Amino acid sequence: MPVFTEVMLDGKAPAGPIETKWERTKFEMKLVNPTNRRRFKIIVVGSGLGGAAAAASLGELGYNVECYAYQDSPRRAHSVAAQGGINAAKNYRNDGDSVYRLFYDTVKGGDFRAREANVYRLAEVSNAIIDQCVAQGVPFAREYGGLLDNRSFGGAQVARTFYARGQTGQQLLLGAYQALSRQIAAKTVTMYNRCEMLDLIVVNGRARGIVTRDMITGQIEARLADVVVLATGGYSNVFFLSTNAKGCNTTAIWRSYKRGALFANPCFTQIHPTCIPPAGEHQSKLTLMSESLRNDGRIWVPRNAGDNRPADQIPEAERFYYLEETYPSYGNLAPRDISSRAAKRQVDADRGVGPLRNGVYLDFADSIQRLGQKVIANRYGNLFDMYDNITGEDAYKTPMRIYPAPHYTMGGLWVDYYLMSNIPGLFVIGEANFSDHGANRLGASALMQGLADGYFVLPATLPNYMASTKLDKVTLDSPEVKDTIAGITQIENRLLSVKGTKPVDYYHRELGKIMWEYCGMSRTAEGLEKAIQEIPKLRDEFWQNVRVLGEGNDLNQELEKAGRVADFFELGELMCIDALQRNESCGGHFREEYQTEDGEALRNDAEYTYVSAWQYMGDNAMPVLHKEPLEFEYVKLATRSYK
Amino acid sequence: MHIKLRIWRQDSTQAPGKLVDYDLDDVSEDSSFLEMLDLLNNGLIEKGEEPVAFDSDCREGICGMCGLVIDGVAHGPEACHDDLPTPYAGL
Repeated sequence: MPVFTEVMLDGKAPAGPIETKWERTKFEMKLVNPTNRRRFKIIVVGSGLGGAAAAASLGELGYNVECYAYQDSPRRAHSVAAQGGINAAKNYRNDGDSVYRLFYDTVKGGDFRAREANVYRLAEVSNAIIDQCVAQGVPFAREYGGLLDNRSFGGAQVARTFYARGQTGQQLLLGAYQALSRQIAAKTVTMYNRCEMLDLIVVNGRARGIVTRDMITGQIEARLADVVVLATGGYSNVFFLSTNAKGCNTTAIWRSYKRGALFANPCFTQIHPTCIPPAGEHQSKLTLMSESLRNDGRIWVPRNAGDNRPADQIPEAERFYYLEETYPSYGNLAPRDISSRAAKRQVDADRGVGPLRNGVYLDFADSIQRLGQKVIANRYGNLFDMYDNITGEDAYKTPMRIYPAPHYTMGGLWVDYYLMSNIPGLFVIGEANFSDHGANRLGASALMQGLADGYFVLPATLPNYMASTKLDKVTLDSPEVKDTIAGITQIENRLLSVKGTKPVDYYHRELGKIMWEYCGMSRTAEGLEKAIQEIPKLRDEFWQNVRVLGEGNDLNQELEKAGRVADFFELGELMCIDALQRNESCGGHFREEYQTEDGEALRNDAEYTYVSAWQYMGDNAMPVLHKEPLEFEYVKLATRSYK
Repeated sequence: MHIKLRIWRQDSTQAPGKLVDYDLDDVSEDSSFLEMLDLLNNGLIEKGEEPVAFDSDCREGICGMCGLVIDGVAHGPEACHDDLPTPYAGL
């Protein structure tokens, strides 16, 4: 078992009543004089909602910003694919919403494994995000009278989700991208596309730059700065099949972990309940169908196991609306972790539907009858089209088939209240950090967190670090810089020199199978121990038998993939170690040994009310576990019930 | 199903390029065009030949990263996630 340190990690949440923490902190933090700001150089890695918002906001403040993206344009970042919406506590519906309720729902939704002060701040700035985006021209859906519309998402009994049809992420990203483009034109931000971060440069214990690879020329370079901000997203692609874009990877945060940053709650992964089920071995990724569909779609399976009649031949009495029956007060809008496990139980009990019997129905017949097809098409038209394109089925006529798939990772690099990791000068925002969602994220809260961090939190906390820190001069000749570059060149040469027989995809797919089997929707100590044996074996085989053709100093997509998969192997093992260490079930982390009689997650608050933050100790050494104790002063620890 | 491909290959922007023929067997009808290219590439790698470089990211028709020109037409979302037979029946 891993060793852990007795010294508790301090999240640095300010004292005082929760409603005043952020306002007071903002006043107490030091500022940088406007004329001094351009002397500070800030690197932002990633250009999704968090990265683009941060780079644009810091640029507008007058800092000298460099922003890096692996795509050919910032507007391709995977935030673009977010569908359903963004939460805010505006209470436009007059249905009892408030900052406090959004805070409460998020802490409870995260199954009491998030830091209260961070979550409160998130709820507090949520309303400003909507104002900011409307000012940018983001075309949120509006009602007939012109007011902003809302819909409801899982884990909430109010309608607080703002949306732009099923393309909310795209519209928000275009807003952030416009703001970023304005700063690029004003020369406060320099944009580097097709440029991938491969390592973090740490000098005298502080983050002082990154090593990048130009993906067109293969050139490896050091880029120095006063502060580094990682906004590089999550690591669901450790499962190979996920709803993430093919390029999403863990390399930036993983290699920062190997430079000393703590990795928090790696086993907290979200398996989204509504994705299109896989169709076969050729499958390269899975496609999400927005949670918003559960506003109007009803989830069911045949009541009798083994029933393989088509949906329209199964009479009403023989349909099992399992979410509505089991969780009557939330029904089809039960939170994601609960809905996903419920779907798995049905498919495991041979009630699955579709050619591979690996899905459940999401049925719109009742809503179409009640509201008419036009209303449904207005709300979700693009999602129905997408479903038709991928499956060849018309969901206006037959129910959609859906099944859970890896979608989001709550875990990430550990950060304090100021969003700074334990490496001074390294800030981590959005999905890349661990901070706000605990063990389960509620729907429409990822966009909220990315933009909260990027537009409002980081632009307030980052100057405080610069104003209160005296930085040494670092040059490209510094030994730390040269060593970091040499390390990256060495990894590249090693991958190219294996010259084995199997392509990178083969190993990634095999790793994904292990992770899905043993560290997916449900986990056991026995399975996790097995995975901890199997992953290093497969990793060794990868390093002895992978075939990466071509050269390093050229466009080489296999080399890019190989480096990312090498990191996924190491991360996958840490996820299993973390899952094995956490002898309880909470949120998306479901250990079969710890469940109630009804099969619900059974937390162990006495022993596990902490953040597990892992410290890298070497490639073949067990990492050290640091614990940040969590206290719940406002939302009292209680069994989470949606019944 | 069986697919015949003619793909423009070029070592670099300076090098001369040419169309190269490839034959693919046992392609699932549920594959997207990009998944069919994955299959081609993994086969090429196993044979020791350089895989075909192509852009893709979200593979669900929203990011705009894939930029294939197929039969003279620049394809976006269709190549990205549609089942093969839909736009390419008869190829």
